[in-house]
Amino acid sequence: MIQLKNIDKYIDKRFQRTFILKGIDLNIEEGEFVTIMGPSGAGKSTLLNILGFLDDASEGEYKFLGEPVHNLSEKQKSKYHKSHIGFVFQAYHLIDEMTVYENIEMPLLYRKVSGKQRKAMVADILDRFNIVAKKDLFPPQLSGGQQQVVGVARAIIGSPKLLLADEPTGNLHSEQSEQIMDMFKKLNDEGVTIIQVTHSEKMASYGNRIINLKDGVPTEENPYESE
Amino acid sequence: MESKFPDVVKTIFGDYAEQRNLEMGLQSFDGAYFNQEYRSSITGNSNKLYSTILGGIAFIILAIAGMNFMSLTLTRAYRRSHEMGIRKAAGAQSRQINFQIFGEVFVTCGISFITGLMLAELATPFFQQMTGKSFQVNLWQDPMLWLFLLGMVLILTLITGSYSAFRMAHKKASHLFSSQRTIERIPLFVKGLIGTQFALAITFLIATFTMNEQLNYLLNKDLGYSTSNMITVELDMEGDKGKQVANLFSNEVRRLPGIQEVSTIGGHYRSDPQYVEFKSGFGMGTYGTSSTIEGFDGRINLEIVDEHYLETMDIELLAGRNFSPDRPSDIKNGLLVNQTFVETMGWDNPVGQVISDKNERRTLTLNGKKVIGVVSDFHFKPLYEQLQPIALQHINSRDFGPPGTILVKASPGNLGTTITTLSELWERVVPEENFNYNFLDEMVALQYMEEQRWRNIIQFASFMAIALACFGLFGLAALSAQRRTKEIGIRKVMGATLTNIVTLLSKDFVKLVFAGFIIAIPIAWYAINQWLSEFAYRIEIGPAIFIFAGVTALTIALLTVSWQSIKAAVANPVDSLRSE
Repeated sequence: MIQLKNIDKYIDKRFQRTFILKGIDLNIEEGEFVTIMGPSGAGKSTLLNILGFLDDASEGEYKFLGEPVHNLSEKQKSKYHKSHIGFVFQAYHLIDEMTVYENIEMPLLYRKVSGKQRKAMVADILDRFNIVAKKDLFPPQLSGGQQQVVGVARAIIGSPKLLLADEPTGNLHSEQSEQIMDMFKKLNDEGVTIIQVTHSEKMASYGNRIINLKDGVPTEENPYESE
Repeated sequence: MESKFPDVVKTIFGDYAEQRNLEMGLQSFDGAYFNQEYRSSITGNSNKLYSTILGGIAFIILAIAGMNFMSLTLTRAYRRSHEMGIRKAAGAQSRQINFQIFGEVFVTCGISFITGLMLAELATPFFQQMTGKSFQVNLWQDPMLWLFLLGMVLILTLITGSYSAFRMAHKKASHLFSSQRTIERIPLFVKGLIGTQFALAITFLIATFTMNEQLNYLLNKDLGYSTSNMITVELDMEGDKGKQVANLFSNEVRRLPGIQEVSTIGGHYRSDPQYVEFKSGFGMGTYGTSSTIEGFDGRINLEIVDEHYLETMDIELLAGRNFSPDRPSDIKNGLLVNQTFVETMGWDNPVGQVISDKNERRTLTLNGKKVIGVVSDFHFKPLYEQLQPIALQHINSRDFGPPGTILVKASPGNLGTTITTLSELWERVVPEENFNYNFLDEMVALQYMEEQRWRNIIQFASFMAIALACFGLFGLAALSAQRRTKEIGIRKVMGATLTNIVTLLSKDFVKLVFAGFIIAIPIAWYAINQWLSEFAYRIEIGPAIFIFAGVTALTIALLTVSWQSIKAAVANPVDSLRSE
């Protein structure tokens, strides 16, 4: 599903080139549950952003479902982005002024889904995640765990093929974290490819593959032990 | 002294005084300038209404600026609420918070006051030109003005500062700190202010467009006579000399190349500011009037012309015949009348009718005059008034005194050369007199000088109003975009396109401008109808002008807002969503 070949990401600053990612080669098959681990500043989030089309690689090739992303136009990128990829953030990034229902519905608005269908889809998701009772509340009225449930609900409402999660449990305590990870596991079983970034070994253990990053370079050894 | 006036009037004007109720009185210098009943030509005259309107415009502009300032401070207030929260937590009392808020506003007002003074000094010539009045800002010698302006600054400070002070001072410190303050969008009050600003700006716009259109209409309306390529040469000589010069000059002119027709008339066609002020045109049809004609109660205007007048002015002869030197009896007793005259008298066969004037002894009596021809109607008065009856008498029908104007109709093109030739000819004929000339179309345009002046003022006001309202909108859009950076990032990640985001950010403002437009419609409708009612001939106010003004304001507002919206929309969401 995803093929990265020699991906570099760097920032040029006054005659000095700072690499964030260097020479990343990566193959991810459909249905995998991949965990990216590494210390702060290792380039995990940047990698995730590139995978999710939010950022462009400075150099290298990125093929998504066989299509070379670096050659896609903005419009095509946005199309892929909308129909194939969902995001979950550490800080949830819900819109505070909108209700739970509206937050979950929002991605569908940009996909030109008809009103009736939207209603059905949101109702379905609310039901599935057991948050029907919360649908008219605003995010600040929910606990962190509940907010993240909404975040996940919003990410998968468009039934994406790929779910990208940037430290989804970073702000949650263990019980809530487990709930979210169980959800991920279930989604993965249903065929969604998941790539998550985390610091926690425990959360990583839910996945079936771990990629260690250190200073923008993938390493074999456990990066936390060498620190 | 005034008791002797009636006798004086009687000895000078005789019976005429009684008929026309002539009176004589004294007018004090004090207040003569604004007196509308007896307009003094010594002090000059102006309607006090104009000063009021001008002041009103200035006040509206000031109000728009004030509202702007207020809405910007209010919207920024949410950012400052944190600071105020800290101050309150540190023990500041409401009074101290108030003092700070008002202090800041006062300093801002003070700075703009001083800048305004300097600008006023610099812009004085510009305003003098625009209003056509000469005035001097004598700030240093007028303590009242000083006090007034200082008062304005204080009042402005109080009004603009009060709302945000009220909001700040009465909120609990904990609330000022709380993260919930981010939920606040643009306060309703601020929305109202923006809506009002645009309502005022759009009102001005509609007024400007209407005035432009009406002026175009006034200047381009077919008046029933030709104005292009017409040169009027002024004759201001006494007695026989005037007549001789007129004869000599017009005969010579007729022989010049590039001249189509020449006519000598009794009236004084002049671009006299006093004519303009009294809205009586440029002197056409003002030679005299007769209000004593049998069969008609109203007044009939008289014009003293020669046999070339119709040809020169392109006035059509509908029935009967023109004056002709071959028919001395026509010249002596004949009369040309216009269609309205015929309609007024209710004649079926106008040609040959004999007029009986109740006042036989008047110089300009029409008694015994015989209608020899009917001419088409023409607007000898400015378009403030409806078409009126007019009678044309021949200049040689009696001893009318020296003619007032020679009308020269030149061939199209090269008016400049024609003027040079005419002036050289004049130099040969009467070297001791000045050659004064005018163009008829310019004199017609000059009739509406006052309207053009007001149009310029309103145009300037609408420009200021729109510019100010847009400054405010720009600031608000910037703040709104800034505050919603995170939301925009999220939406973009969720698949929102550039258009989605720009629409999202502009929608609220567009609604406000639209609301302003709705408010502006009745106000503008009333105002322009009021203005237009001065004219007997006016444009129809259709929806087009309103829509055009609304669309103009909306476009300008959208351009203003979209700058910020697009900037926010193209930003990379990765930056705004980077975990804190």
